[in-house]
Amino acid sequence: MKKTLFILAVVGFLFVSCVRAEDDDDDDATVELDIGKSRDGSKTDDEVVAREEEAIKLDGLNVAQMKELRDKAEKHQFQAEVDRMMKLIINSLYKNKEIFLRELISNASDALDKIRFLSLTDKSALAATEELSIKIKADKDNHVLHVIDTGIGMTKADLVNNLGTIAKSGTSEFLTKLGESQSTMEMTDLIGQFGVGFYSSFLVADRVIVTSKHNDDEQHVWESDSNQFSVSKDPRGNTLGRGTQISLHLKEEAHDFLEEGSLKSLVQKYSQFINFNIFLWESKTEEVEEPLDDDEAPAEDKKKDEDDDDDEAEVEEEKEDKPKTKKVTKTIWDWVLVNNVKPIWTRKPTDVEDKEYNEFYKSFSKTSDEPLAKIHFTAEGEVTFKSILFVPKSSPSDMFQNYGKKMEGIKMYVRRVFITEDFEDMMPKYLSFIKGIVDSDDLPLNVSRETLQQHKLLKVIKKKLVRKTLDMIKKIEGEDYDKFWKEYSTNIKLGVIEDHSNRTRLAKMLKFLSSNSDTEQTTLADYIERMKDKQEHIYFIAGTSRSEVEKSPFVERLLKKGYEVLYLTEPVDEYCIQSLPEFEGKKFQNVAKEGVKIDQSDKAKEYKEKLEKDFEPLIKWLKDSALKDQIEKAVVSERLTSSPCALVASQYGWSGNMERIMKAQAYAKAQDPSQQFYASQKKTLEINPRHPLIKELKARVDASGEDETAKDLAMVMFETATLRSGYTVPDSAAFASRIERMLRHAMDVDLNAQVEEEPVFEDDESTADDDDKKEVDADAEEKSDDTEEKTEDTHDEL
Amino acid sequence: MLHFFRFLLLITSCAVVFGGKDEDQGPVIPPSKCEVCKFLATELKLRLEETGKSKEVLEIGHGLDNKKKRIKYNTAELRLIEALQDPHICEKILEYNIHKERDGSNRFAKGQSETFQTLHGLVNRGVKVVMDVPYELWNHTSAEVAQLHRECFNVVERYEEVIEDWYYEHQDQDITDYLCRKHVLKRDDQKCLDEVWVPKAKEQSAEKEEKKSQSKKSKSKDKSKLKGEVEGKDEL
Repeated sequence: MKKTLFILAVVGFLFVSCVRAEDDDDDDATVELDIGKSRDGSKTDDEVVAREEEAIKLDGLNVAQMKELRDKAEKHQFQAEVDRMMKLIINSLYKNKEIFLRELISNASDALDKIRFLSLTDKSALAATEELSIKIKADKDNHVLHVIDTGIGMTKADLVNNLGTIAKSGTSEFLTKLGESQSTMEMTDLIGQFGVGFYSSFLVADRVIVTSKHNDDEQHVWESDSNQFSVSKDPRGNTLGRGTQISLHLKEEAHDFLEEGSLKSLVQKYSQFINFNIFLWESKTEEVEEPLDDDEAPAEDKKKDEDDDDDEAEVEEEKEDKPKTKKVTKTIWDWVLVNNVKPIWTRKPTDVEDKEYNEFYKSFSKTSDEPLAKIHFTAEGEVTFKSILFVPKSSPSDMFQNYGKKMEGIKMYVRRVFITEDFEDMMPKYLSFIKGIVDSDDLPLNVSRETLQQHKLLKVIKKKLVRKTLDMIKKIEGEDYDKFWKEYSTNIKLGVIEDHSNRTRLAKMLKFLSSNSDTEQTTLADYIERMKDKQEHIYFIAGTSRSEVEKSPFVERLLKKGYEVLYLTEPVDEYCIQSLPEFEGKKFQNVAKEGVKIDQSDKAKEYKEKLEKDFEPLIKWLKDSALKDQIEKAVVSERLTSSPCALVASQYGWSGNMERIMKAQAYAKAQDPSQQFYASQKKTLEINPRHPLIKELKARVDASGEDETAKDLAMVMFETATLRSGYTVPDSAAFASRIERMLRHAMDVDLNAQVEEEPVFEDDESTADDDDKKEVDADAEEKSDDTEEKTEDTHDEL
Repeated sequence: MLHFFRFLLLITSCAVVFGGKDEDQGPVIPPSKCEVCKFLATELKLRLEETGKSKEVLEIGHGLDNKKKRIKYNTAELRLIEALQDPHICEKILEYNIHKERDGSNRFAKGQSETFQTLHGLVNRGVKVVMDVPYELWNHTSAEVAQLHRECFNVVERYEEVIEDWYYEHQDQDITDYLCRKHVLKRDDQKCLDEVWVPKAKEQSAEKEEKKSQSKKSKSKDKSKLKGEVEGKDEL
């Protein structure tokens, strides 16, 4: 039986080759139906020789047609940026020429994705040919490499626009980045990411011819020598059916790219995850049995008939006929599939090696870095989908400039058909850095993207994607987590604020600096482990830097007593913590706000009550006299050790850090009532009963409530506390003059001593124009600002 | 940094807790665990009632083959996700206001409180009303509601599985009983769950007000402050 099949196969093959041979002899009209395959595929060596006579090395273009093509071609200059970019690419990537193939295949794949997607709603899109594939053929004799796809193709306008200008926004950004890029690796990544990979063709070719047929237009030929380009209607008519053929006239040094072996390995290296068949025109030698008969065709027919009609007996007979055939070594050319199109995500996770995931990641994200983490899963339930998600090693540099705008991380497939990569909200904003693919069998294919975008089941998919992403992040450990945190800490913090459904999950990922370690950040869970027995709150303080918050008056006593305090030094930190009501049952306490109760023992309470009684007159004096309308109230502090006093926000007021951030809002609404409300909230002045300055103040107030020096002193202490607590002093001029007065006191300078008059010089340039004067004025102002700052700095020591 | 601040601005309104400050901090009584669960369960029940009558059947899969899955919306994961997250169920909590004249958990209710109705009425009549909080912020979420809102998210996240269990297995039981009594408040005070707000006659509520505990001080204080202002106005 097997033998029968073999013979049948041989017979079949011969039959097919006959037909092919016939095809080639036919005129163009018949060939058109079967592009590439028959035309390029079945050329015999004789024909190749014949073709060499053609001046322009394009299939089927005779001398006359070539002339026509040349004459009618519209000449174009490249857009200046394209020109600059091509030169940059050529000059910088000359050591990495091979990437051209990856780029061309990637473009072909995109074009195929587009036509396949169109065909979902418009069946006629595939009318020209149902085939969706990429073919690569090396024409060794003419040193031409063809890359042919049956993708969407380009109209004449497309050819001019896509291959002559860079329409995509961000061209200048691209050029800058390309100029700055450190390594060729970085550079090749950029080229792919910006969709300008086509131009890398000129790395290996001195002339590039693009023949393209779009469903809406005639077939056109684009040709360029990298200096200028021309476009004209193809005199051969529509030979492609649909799609694009890129023909590279290779430079001499690039002739190696005509070798089957190198082409094959390049495709496997760069394009193994292309989801379309990639065929390579390959030769192989085979031993074929040929009938001895000269009269081939009739014999075949006869045999065939016999096979069809008769039973095994006759087949046996045929076997005995063996001597009728002879073994011949033949070179057979055929399209050989060189990639494995089975998408990696459809395979079982256990069957896929890490290396494959990494390669897959690199190929679809167009980077050369390996991912930091990955997860591959199948979601079951109402909607089934497969997905692979990755955390890239580094975050995009423009992540927050485009926060919430760009969402191109997740590629959406429905039943292995690529739909889009910019679905809105596939991931929440804060996870927009995640890259990956989602492929669902349960979504409808034959609807528009907009309809799909509205599909209710996406909600289920989204929810699961977020959960799985968080699972993946949770599993990152050790050094890798440090790397992750370095890149994405702000994202996670924003997540805590924005994603109410996963707040606790995200809170577990948070890390902050704390008084526990000078260098290491701590998780909240670790903080809780270290908490003191009776400690009820997680203490934190927010500010601009570690050194600032470490020295804050608010942490003095806590640190002295051995409590750990979290140092929140990023602008987003305080918001982040504010949106967390608690962590594992422990509430957060901003130590810059009221409510810090350190020692709750009875003795301590007793002591405090006594102190409060002692300081009652001072407190009353501060509130009603010295700092009338400046503070909400004054209290004896529980948190101060070395500072005389501090200004504390109410539980719902702004801390100094928050005030600073709110005031710095570039987009703040002017005169926002809620902002003004918070900004004008009076604070509580906490005084340190053990501080000599406070004690002295108390003594003076006890003596007389009308002591003007005491009032002055209280005012300066209040203003100092304002600054030390992270707030700004509203009237800095008055503050400065008070400080100046104290300096005069300290240095025994008469309070009324006048500033020496500046000598008046005759102005040489009395004609100097107003501009100059203004500049001088500005300088003077700057100087005065400087002095003011200095005063503020030094005045702690006073 | 600029981009950052833009973002921060966007979230201020929800991240910052609004609350009238008062000298004795008395008026802000944080919502209890019981209150959080009570209103979450109430809202969830309402959301599910909205969609519960749907006879919709989700068809999943393709027209191309016959392997279509058909899922009743009524018990679908999608319905639960929509009820919980689309928008988040806890956002409904922001529709609540604090009604200080009412007892216990009834202080949380939708609609404007009597106090504020009176105040707004006065403002509309041209009376100048001065309070700690500027007029623009009167209708802003109060501290208690903001906290209720935040705690609500916490409960939903923490008890997600319980809610799912109830949805898939125990829809015959009352959600308040299942979620709050049996799980969230297993070992906690459940009293608030039985409190039902019945509008009372005016005299009665006035009488009640007299007996009110410390916590209600502020309101009466507001009132007295208000009275002064109103009187002043009348004289004019």
